[in-house]
Amino acid sequence: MANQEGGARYSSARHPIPISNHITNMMYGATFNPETMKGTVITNLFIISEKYIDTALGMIEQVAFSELCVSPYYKILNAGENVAGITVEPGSVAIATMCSITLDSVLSRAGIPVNHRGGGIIQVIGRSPTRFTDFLSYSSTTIDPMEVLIGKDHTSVMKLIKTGSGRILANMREVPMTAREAVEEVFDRLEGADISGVIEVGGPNSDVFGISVSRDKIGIVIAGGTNPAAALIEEGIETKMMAMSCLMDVSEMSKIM
Amino acid sequence: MARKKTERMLIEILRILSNSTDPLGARAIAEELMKRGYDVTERAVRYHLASLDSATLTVKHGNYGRSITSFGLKELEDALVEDRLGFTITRIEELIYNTVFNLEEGGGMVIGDVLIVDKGLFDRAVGIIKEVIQAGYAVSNRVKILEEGAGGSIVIPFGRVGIATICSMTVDGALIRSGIPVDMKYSGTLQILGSSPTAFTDLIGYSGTSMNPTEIFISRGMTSILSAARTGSGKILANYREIPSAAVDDAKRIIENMAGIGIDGTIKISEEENLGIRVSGRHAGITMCTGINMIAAVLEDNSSAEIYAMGAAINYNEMREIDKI
Repeated sequence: MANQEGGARYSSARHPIPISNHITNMMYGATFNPETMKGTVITNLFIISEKYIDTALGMIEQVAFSELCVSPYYKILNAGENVAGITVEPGSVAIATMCSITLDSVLSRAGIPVNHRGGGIIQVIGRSPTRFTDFLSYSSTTIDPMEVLIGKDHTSVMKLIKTGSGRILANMREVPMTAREAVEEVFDRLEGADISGVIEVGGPNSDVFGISVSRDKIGIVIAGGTNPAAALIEEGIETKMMAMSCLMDVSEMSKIM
Repeated sequence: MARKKTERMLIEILRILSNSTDPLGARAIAEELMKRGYDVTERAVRYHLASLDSATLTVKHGNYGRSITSFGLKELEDALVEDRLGFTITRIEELIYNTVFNLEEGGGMVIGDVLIVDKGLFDRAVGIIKEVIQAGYAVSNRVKILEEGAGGSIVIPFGRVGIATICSMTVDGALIRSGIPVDMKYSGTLQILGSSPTAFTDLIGYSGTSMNPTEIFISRGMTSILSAARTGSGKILANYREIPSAAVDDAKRIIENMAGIGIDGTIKISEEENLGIRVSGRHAGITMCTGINMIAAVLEDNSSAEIYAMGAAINYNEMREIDKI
């Protein structure tokens, strides 16, 4: 079972807040610069029993190698360490991986206005992503779609790695069509820093994988940073998932390969 | 654009076949397509059917026509994601339109949620449902027992038993049939403290999701309905809709009349603010319990229970008060 508390941590006592508001705050908070390799990135956190740590790292490596997540950067937090307002309990470890909103943060710092649309499940057939089969828009929910859709009922990340066909988590944003070159330049710079996961940059006014874009926008689909956790849950490893939970200095993180 | 139009038509053909118990020929399918606004010849339908056959989404039975395969049914669940955003509202509207509940005569069809449990768990399930009704988190105390083998769209498997309860959308149906425009906005989890609802803790908008939000909350284990009923603290499922301010008096009257015949789940009707939600200008917000609280509580108690939200239209006169079954 994924995180049982759901999005309660995003909600204030007075008003339930759409996840899109949480995203823009996190995005603005991240300071990562791909040239200097300095600054903070947004991370997803997942907590597992410490006996599974080697299995988990092996899976992160496979998922990162297949470019089904954002980057090979990770950090392990041991029992007793504090992160995202919680203390890791004895017998458990927390693993932080990079969240795809990190890319949006860099786009935004390059002056490109980013409108986050939502997240869902992308069906991949023969190594080609074909379409979203489920979608949840960020403005309509207080729970992160990357948490809602995680697990074996929805994803098949490991099957995709093994066979070339399966279902993964991905999210979609739109930017002005005139920013296309700037976007690609930013993605090139990020690629140099080993941060990728871009599945599709759509054409002007064109659907991406079945989701239409606003007028004079292009849609961008990026693999969810939560796919490694999805792989763990699929394999039956009990995982507590906290998507977009904290900002972390990239210098504290290591590369898995 | 043309590709999308073709894809829509292919999916529409699958939908037509999925609604039919018998195989259908190209002519019958072409006629159905015409009714649904697709201007298409029988010959073109034959061409599309051949491509559906080769994708194993349909299968040909000699001269009898075609039927949909299990692969085709799965495709219906996956295809055209954008058309399915807000699908829950479409489903609700379809059910409301197909359910005729006559308030004056106190009878007719109501929208039901269905719980399926092993026969051995039946008494325990009924006990839990009674607790939730007692605590006031239900829509009605009337249920219908579905024996094994029974059912239209939902078939009760051997060794199990179904309990159908009334969904809160039945009240929305009554409002809409009185000409009140109802905007179904959110499904959510509502915090209960000291046996009183305080505020929504999580919300999912019906228009922005391809999945049923209520099922998301249940499958993620985000409810604590039993605890709310037993200790006075917990999280129940509720939904929120808005109506024009001008219709508030009429709506209150209809809601009261419905309560008079045993269908009630209204928690709060207000303008400006409603349990943490800011109400749109010149509108009133109405929060209601969902009927599914009763059966979701059973699922909290035993994970082998199955739930079908808005699974069926049920004749109200066939439902009995739970104390009398």
